[in-house]
Amino acid sequence: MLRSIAALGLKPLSAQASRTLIVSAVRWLPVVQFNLSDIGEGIAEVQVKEWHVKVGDRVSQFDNLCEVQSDKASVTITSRYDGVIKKLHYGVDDVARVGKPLMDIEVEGAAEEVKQKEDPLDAVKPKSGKPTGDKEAKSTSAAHDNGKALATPAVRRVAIENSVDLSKVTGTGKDGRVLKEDVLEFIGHIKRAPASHSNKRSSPSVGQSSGPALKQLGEDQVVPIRGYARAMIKTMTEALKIPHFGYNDEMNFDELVRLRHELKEFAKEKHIKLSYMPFIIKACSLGLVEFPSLNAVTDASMENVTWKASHNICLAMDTPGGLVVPNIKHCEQRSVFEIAQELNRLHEASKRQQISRDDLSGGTFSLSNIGAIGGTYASPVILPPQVAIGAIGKLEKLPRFDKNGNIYPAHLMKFSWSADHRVVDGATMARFSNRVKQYIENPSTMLTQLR
Amino acid sequence: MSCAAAGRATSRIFISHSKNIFANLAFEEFLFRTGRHPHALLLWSNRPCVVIGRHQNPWLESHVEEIERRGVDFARRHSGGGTVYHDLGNLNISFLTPHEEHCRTRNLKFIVGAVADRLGIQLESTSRDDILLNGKKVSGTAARISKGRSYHHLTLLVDTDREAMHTLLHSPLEESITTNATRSTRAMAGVGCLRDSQPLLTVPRLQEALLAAYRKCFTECETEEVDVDNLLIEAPEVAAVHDELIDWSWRFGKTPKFQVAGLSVENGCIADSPDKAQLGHRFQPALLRKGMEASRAAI
Repeated sequence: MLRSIAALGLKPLSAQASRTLIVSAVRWLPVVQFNLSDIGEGIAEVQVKEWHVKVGDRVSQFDNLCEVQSDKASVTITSRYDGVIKKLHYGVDDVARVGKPLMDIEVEGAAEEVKQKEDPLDAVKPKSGKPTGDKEAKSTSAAHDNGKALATPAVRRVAIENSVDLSKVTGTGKDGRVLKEDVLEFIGHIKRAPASHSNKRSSPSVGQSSGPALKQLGEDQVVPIRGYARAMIKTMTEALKIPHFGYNDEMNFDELVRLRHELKEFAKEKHIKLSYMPFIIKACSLGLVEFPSLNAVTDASMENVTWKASHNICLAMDTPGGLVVPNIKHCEQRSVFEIAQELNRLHEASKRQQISRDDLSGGTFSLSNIGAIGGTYASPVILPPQVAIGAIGKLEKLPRFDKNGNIYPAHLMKFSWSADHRVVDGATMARFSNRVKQYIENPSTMLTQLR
Repeated sequence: MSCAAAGRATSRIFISHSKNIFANLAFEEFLFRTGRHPHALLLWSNRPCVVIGRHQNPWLESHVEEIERRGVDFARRHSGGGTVYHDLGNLNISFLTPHEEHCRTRNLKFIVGAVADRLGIQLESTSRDDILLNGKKVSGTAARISKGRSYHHLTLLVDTDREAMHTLLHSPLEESITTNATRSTRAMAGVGCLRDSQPLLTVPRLQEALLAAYRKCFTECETEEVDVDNLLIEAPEVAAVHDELIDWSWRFGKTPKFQVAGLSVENGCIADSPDKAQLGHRFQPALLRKGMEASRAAI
């Protein structure tokens, strides 16, 4: 139900009333008093220590508002609403009372009066414009009627950031509304305790067939493609011209796990942080010595393939600015430790977005350690003008048979190779993979290659 | 004494191998924020460090210059409470739970019970959430609550370098600083440690006792030993929190505004001073000595 302007205590602006002490124009958005919620432990008051927002700021549900302290506990208060902050009731060092207003916020997204309840966005304006007799009586199935899931802009943002299709998420909020916890649970980030109230309310249908119309609650966000992302578009469009074939295999990391553990002290002494990647990179480089046609680049006219002498192995890195693929030069001449040092340097540089042009150019073979995030087998895309790439899955422990036929927990990583089928054949890729596998599964064979 | 909420389903124990306070605080904050395990217990120890509470003033609570001179780490944690000094003779214990189940009294009673049953040492918990041994304080508590999650962490001193603690937790500027920042409460009868009662007790032995008791409170409780230093490389989310924690603007810049010797300091930098050249510079106690020399020269 819409409040009249007079009820809100505002005077309507007229052309003549140019000077008015009331700052706000005619607004149909309600201002809600957000109370300081119960902190528990029978605490009645807390001290406000820091504000993260100020009057006029726009906040979203779950944004941090302020820090309060009660004796030994430091508590972060988050917003229950999306909206604009109109008033803060306390300053820093003031004592705030639980259950009393903390701030006034002009709530967005609902043109009707919002009640101070657990779920603030109860009311959705019915399509016909007639107020329904009982606000709560809505058709719950309408939540997914036109295929659009019911969710606040903040929840939509979380979904977009995590590439989640909201229509696939089960909403546990009122009327099947998708809450932020639902999205997070969907991604697998949290496990929820069973909901204390029932999800869907069966209600008497009132004018049921059409149900409430669902308006777009947020705005489409146009994200310009800049920087690394532009380069991605160019490279990947080129890559599409390459006929890819894939070859996958599982490699046993038992020996490498043991070896890495043994080398811990030595690595510490040399101030080197040793992961599995340097071993994998070196094993690939040793493999490329035998199969140089995989460490090659094609020219634009496909007249020649150049087998490169130097193994400049590219590593895909996830930076704040997006995917970037620097390479470690001359892996064929570097020891495992030296490769580890280079890898660390590139990791640090990528975190600060300080990868140099030299680091980015001249790559001859690529690896993607997507397993650091997750996954088993993958389908990597070749970086032209290279001819091959490998994606490495996560290290898993799975039951396998040992040489005596007994089941034991084996450390395994899955490798997914892709290669340019115009210049590389399956047999070459398979043999290369087998060689890399041999080095990885029996690291002592790498010893034999030492100069 | 078994813990009051026995029979709760599952929890997970994390034991950190890192001795680096920043790495450990980052890991704790990461577990807290990502919340994959509703109930968890985290145990760790660090090489010597001074840790202040979220809203405290480093220069009021501790001897910042001496800390730097001795190469002792200085950290600000996310939880409230007062300033502590700890080294490898201390065990840090962190109870991570959903907000509704946050109960410091219960956690402290659990520790007192476990230590009495398994080590024969009689401790007592107080209403200020301290743990005392024969009236001396052997543990300090702090807590953090946000977005439906919480943690309660505490120190538990087995043995400690009392000289370092006394020197580093006393600030020469204590009387001169005016502020509303949270002040630490000095232990009334002084500080003690568990070795006062049992000279042969070690941190590993204490840890063992607590873990055995903790496991009894849950039907399922797995233990994970975590190489947190390594995690900083492999997990960008943990590394991000770590980088936040070592940053000057967090450790010193987050200080609530204060006045000292005619200077006004906000966010760790000089906001007002009789010497305008100092404006905007980071606050350092050394500046006060220069100021004194300047005023002496003026005479």
